Amino acid sequence: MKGGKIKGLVLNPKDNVGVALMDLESGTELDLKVTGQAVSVKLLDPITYQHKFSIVQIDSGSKIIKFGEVIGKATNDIKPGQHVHMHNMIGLRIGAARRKRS
Amino acid sequence: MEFLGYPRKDGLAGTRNYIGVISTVSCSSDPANWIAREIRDCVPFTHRVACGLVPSDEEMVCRTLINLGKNPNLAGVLVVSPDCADSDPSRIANGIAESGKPVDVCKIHQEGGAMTAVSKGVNIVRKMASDASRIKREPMPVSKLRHGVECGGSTPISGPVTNAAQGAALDFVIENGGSGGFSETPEVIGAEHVIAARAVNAKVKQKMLKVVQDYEQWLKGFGVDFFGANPDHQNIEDGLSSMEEKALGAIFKGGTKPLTEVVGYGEVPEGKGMFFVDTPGNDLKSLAGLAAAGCNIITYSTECAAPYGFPFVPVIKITARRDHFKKLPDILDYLVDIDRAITDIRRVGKELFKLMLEVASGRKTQSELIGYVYACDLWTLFPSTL
Repeated sequence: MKGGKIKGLVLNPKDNVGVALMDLESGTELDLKVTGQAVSVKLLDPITYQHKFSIVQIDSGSKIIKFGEVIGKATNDIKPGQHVHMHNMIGLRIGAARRKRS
Repeated sequence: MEFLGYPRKDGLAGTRNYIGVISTVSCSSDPANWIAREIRDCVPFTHRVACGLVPSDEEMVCRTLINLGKNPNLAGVLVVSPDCADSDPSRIANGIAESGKPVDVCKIHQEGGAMTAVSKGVNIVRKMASDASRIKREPMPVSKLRHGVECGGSTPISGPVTNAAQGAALDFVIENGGSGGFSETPEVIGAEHVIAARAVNAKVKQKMLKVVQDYEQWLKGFGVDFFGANPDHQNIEDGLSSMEEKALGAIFKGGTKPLTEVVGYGEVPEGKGMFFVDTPGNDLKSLAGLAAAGCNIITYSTECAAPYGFPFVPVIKITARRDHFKKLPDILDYLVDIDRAITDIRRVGKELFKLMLEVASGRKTQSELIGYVYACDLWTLFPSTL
């Protein structure tokens, strides 16, 4: 068994993504507490344990914020509740670290 | 707050009381292993570094072996070497002897061959082990703990959960007057500004930024795309999308205290507080760097359940994966509950800190119990010229 009872988490009030703490189905409605403030999001994609989902609209080219820090930028427009990963974001520090398991 | 440790002549405290058999070069590994296996409480440190090193690498290997030998968990050391080796075994032995512990040298060719060298070596370490067995554990303040923090097999959860748990335990060590730190320079790339911002002064801040910059330049110098390999396949499958994201998770293990010192590979931080050791991300090379830095206890968060420990420093292995913890009882030592970590990381850190005090006082880790501790490696920046 992976994960605990808490479904998802936003690690820092500056973040525009949350983290799934268990496998979550598309359509799941999450009520997340971000430093006392409630943020609600309905998932548009299934989100695997530990993966990221957007909690706000993120336009293509905008920064992806996690831990209160920039972890990359959006390469597509991302709607609230969508999966955020290699298909729609890229790290800024080292050009193109993109590889898929062959 | 105290633990039961072994007093050393240089004022440090051992959490273990081993005799170390240190091989200076890859080709003396076999006799070093043969000597160590004959005597209980005797452990080998062998590695794969050969002769023909450029001078800067030779210097780095020498100082690393010296400071590994000086680690307070070793009560005595035998240095084993062939006569033809580049690194000077007498220099290494003399360096270790500054700590006041008994040190001897066994040169394979001078003893009339491997078997006579092993026979002589066994008798030397037998005598050392006999003397060391008279040293008793005594109450020691936490200020004599030096806590090394390691991670391997990062996932998006390891940052805020298991790395944060280690960081919180490190905070307790430091709050109680001890020292400790982390390493793995390439895994800081993308988050160095966050850790540098915690530096106690501009000099330390610049050094932190410089070791990361130098590492990046070193990798780029090979002319291949190393950065396409980080995050790796497993990291990506687990949900890490960029180097920055991985690095920001990795630095959770450094806790929340100010960064007091940045030291090179094989060097020993002088003071108290939280330090950084410049090492590669390879865990065996990084563990050797932490042990050379004087760490007498190590915690290691590993979501891939890395199986090894270290020959003479206890390594407490931590996971947030309940399935691994149940399935791999002889590999993992401590399970971090995700919900508890998220709601109260200080409480989890304190629990881990208490386990560290028990282990520092003699409770054995899983890797020590099964002896899964002998794979070792050292860092060199350049290939051998031979």
